[in-house]
Amino acid sequence: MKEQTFWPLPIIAGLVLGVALGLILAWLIAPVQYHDTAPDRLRADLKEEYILLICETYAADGDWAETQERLVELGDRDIGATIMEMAERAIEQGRPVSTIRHLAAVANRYGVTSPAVARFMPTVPPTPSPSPAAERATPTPAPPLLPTATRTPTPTASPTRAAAGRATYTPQPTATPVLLYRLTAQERICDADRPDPLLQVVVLHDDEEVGGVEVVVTWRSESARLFTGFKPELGLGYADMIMESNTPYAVQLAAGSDEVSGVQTAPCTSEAGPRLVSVRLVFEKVGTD
Amino acid sequence: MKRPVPLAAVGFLLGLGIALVLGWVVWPVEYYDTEVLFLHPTYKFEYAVMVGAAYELDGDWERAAGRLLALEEPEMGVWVRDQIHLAIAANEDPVKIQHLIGLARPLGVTSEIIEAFVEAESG
Repeated sequence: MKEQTFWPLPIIAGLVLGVALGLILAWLIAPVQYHDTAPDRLRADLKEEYILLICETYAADGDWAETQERLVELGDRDIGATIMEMAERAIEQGRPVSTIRHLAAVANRYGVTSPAVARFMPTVPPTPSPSPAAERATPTPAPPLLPTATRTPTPTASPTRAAAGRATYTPQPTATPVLLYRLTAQERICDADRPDPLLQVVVLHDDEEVGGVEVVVTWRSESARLFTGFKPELGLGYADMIMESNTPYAVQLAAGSDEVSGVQTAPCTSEAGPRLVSVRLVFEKVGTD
Repeated sequence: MKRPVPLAAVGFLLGLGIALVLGWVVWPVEYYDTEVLFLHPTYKFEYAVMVGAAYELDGDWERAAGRLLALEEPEMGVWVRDQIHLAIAANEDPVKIQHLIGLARPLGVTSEIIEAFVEAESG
């Protein structure tokens, strides 16, 4: 009797061996290498160093919009609390008081404070730095975009700014400002297919896009009101407008949200050549109407 | 069963192909604990700007130099100078450029463009 082998057996054996070897190759020997990562992918200790740098930069130039933009890149939804934890840990580790103060100043701007850290805060505003950069940085709090809105989107407990544009390190009450929407992501996109840079806004609630949300955009002495959902092919919670070069924009949701200021395009290089960066802001609903 | 070896080879190649697509495209290895040197050039620029700002604040060059080392640029001075040139060309925020220039000085690098920028800004 002639011995018969079930014919798919060799192919199955080869397949299993191929998959096993392929996965070893793809995951262990030659995994995908990411060389152009974002700060949210940094190792925990390096991420903390990055946060500290952001806080020190804020102490140096007082640019809150830029500080917010940098912190958003870290993808931490409770960044104020994270920074305050770092300040508390800095006390435990006996790090310089200036480090604690720089961290606490930013955490305070998010409405987060701690009795332990408050002890290290100066009672008088710090003397402005005589550096040329600090002299040039004269940030002033942006006027409320919607003076008639019943909700107050900016924390009333935020530090006042000294004449030279430096934040005063006044310990803040523990109350967290009530906002209906929070900025959860800010991405810069170098789109090869798009010659004009776009300011894109996406509004989410429980990961679902929300239509009909009014977005107020201001720049120079102009303003525009956009509504999400007018381009349904791009998503119910999506709205956009074309940005001009060298123009900082401020974006806020009319219902009450973080104000994102200093949003602007910049040159970038795409696969198709030089382009201008589009900026995508994602807001998520955190409060109730 | 006449040709088990070619069939096994076909299976092997098919499996290898599937696995590579899965391992490199569908479920690639994701690195969450990366180093500063792997940051996108935009973030490296931002990192250097912040190192410059912090240096301006505390004047601690040892600390600033240690932070710059994390970028692992073989010629740090040249890299900082090039970043300044790129930033000037891209009409970046002058405050950021000043922070970088603050790093270029102790690194011993300058250029006509940098000097002209400083002169224009101070004038």
